[in-house]
Amino acid sequence: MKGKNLGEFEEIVLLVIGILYPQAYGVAIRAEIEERAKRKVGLGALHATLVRLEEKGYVSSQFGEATQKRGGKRKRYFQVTASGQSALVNTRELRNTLWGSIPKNAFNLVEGLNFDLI
Amino acid sequence: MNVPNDISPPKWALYFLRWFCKPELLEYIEGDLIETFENNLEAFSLRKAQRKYTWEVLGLLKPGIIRNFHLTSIHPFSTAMLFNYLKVGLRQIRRHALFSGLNIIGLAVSMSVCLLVIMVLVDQFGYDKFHKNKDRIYRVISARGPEDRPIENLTRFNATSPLPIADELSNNYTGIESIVRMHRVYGTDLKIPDKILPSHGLYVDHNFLSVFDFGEIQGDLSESLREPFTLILSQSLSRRLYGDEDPMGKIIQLGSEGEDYIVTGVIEDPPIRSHIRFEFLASFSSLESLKLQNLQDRSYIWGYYVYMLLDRTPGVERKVSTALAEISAQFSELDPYYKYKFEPQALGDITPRDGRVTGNEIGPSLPFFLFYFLSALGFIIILSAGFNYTNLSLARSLKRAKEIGIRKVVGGKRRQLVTQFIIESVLVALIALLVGIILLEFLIPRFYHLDPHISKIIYLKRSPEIYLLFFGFSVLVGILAGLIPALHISNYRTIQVLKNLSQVKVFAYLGLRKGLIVFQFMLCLLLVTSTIFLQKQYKLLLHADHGFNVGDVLNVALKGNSYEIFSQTVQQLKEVKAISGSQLRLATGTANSLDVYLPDSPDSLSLHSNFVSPNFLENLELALVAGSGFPARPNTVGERYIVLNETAVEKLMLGSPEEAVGQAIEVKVSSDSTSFLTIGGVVEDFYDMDITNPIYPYAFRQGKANLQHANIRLHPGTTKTALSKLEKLWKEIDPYQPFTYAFHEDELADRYSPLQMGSKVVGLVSALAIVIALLGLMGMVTYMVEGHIKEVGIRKILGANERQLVWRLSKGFLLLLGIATLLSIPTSVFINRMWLETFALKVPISIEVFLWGIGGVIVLSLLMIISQTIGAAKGNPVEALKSE
Repeated sequence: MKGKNLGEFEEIVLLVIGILYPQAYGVAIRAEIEERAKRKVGLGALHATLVRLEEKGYVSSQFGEATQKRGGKRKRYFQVTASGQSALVNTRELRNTLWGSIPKNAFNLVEGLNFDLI
Repeated sequence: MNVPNDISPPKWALYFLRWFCKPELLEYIEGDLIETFENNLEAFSLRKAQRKYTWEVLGLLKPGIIRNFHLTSIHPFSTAMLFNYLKVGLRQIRRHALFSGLNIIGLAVSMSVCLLVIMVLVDQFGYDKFHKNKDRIYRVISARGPEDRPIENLTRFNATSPLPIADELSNNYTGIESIVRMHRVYGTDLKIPDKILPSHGLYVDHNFLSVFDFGEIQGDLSESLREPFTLILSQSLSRRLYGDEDPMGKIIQLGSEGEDYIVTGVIEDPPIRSHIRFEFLASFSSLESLKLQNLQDRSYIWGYYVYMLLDRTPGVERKVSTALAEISAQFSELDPYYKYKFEPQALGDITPRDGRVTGNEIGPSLPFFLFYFLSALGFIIILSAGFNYTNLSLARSLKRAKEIGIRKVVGGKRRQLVTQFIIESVLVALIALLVGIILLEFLIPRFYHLDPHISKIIYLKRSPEIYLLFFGFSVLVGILAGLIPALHISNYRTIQVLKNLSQVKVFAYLGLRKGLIVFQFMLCLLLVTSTIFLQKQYKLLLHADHGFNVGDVLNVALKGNSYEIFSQTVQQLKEVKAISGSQLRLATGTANSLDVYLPDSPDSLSLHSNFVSPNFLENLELALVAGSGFPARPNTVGERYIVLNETAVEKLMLGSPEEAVGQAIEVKVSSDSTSFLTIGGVVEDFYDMDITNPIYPYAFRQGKANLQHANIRLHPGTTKTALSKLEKLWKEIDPYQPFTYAFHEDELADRYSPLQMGSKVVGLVSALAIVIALLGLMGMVTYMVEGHIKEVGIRKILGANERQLVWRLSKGFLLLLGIATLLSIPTSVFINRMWLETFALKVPISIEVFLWGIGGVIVLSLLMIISQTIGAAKGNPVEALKSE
């Protein structure tokens, strides 16, 4: 069913939320992605994805305490829900199966290189 | 909060975010934005952080983040309603053909002018956009002034600058990636074995082709222009010289006595929208191997262009600015007579010209203020036409009252009604646009016709983007013109308009309507009087006594042919009264400078000078106040005599003209030698530049080899036969080059053509403004008469005569015209005095102008008013009263 599958960026966001647990909020997530994936991420793209993930039920969130920083605005912390976790696992399994089905001589892979599936 | 006010993120972006963002997301997104902004502040400048913030906000415009807008508030109509509005709108246009016609014609006429202005602006602001490095290309502009005046007074810059700047910049300063030096060759002959072609081109450094992007080149990009005496031809020039033959490796002689150059490449013709234009490019190293003296001359600001490609370091512009300021100080220090000021000018500021550069431009260009002027004129008349629409729609709004009432009763919202009426006005504007585009096709050739130079500078290109711009423009005009009527009409109270129409405020906006009429006529009167002043000023300057007589004088360019031979043959013609020769033509905008040493003093004075034949003074009717001029038999042993004007005698402190004659003065005849010349005569002062400039000290010298023009004075009325005979003679003397001539009178008029163009343009605009205002007036009067037809009938039955009725109907409008007149006179005096002040010789602000200008407009308006009211006054009162 459409909407159950994870998009590539959604997957990255979910994983990064996991990495940052329990301190995953907007700016931190972005910084982490930018550093690890070496790509520019706009707040717009990130928040739009977070909204979508929350609608799908893959993440849940709650507000933190208000502080002097951030113009007095509260942070919103995200965490991956159980269904989010199973979606990640599904995606990973699918990939592993696909990688496993590629005949040896199809790709010119250099022996010994380790291709992490994220 | 630890963020002071002045380093906060841009406010409008925040408000925009708050407006579109889902409220439940807003708080933490805002927090994230602020946190990011604060982080950015540590890494970047405030402006960059703000820019990034704005981008982030715009990046948030994504589904999921944007809140739900109520569909009705963003979509006040369904498609069905839209069709209904269009249908009703078209019916209204058809049913009230007169009013629609008046509106459409008015809008179309003014739109065509605006469309033309838009095309001109699109053209001029599209210059030099094809260079990859366009944002990093700058050039050095220079100003020079006397040593004893403050440097701040130097505001008139030349596009050229002394060449040593280039070395100075590249040796002692950083920030500049490469420097391109250029020198313009304007009008030289290219000689190949079987052809001579006049052409113009540039000497450029070999990196010219890598700094600028002038299209495909055949040949080696980096090597083609490195060696001295190498040359690249433009494709069209190559075709003219060699046809389809390959020009590579061919030899071309530049100038009649010039050096041989070898063709090392062919380049695409430069695009039209380039401020640098050329037919050929020659290597700059050729000039260096010719060892021209002014290459090293720090005071020679007239001949060379220095373009720079800056590197990408931040703040490099400021660095180069400071570098040039330092060089200015250094050059000023080294020069005993002059101060210098050098500044960088960005490529984007070259066309249209920014205010600084006034001379030696590398190609044709127009100053910035001209575009303000054109835009202002376009704005004025579109405003006037928009007023017509607003006015007529307001006046007729009552007719729509019933429709509004019904629409409101069946549930129409005010917003929908506003939309409906704006759609109607946009519809009218779009129809006007179609007519306007047709009118534009008639306007464009006339625009080019205004002045022959226009077609060289402005290239009006019709493209889909232009038409899209036109469309957007007319929609905007429609919305603005329809806004006030739409707001007014949609505001009617439902019960009132349906139950009792007579209670509706008919006079709503009456003050506004009157104000608009007054304003329209004021503009007309202002434009008409300004046109008359411009025209009068042009005539005054043109016919002013310049101190010489050029009537019936024909200047023929000698193009290297001997003046002696040409004049001897021409003299035989019976149409020719006299012939003389000169290097330059008087008052056509060119001058040589000549340094003369003051007697008993090391100081020198710079004069304007000109080489002439002995009889030149007599032929051009320059009046001698002392001495006898040059001896009629030219001496063969070299230059001996010189003739000065009165100002020169005075500036050189030679006493009275009589005393000056016979004295010898020391003249710098070449860059390294002087010689003593005897003053053979003194002529009365004359205007050698044009009459708007002060009189310069001037010297006439003798030199047969330097005569470039033959000045032929014809017997009056013989022009035609003389021209054909002269052309035949020319063919015998020079079978290669074409016969080029111009009447001196026309060349003189050319000097004043900006004024003449100005008066033509303003004249055209004022004619259009009058037409539009009269159309509006006609609509208003017609509408008013319609409304009073019953009253007129009753008055007539009660014994009023036609004259009384016409007066009664017209007097309101007459009052408005009166007010417009009273307001326009002081405004016109103020504005016209302002520009006339800049002329030393100027027409007086006379009552006569106002009498004619204003009288003319008023008479036309009166005719319009009376023609509309007289019908009603003459009509049979029974007809007016019998039907309800």
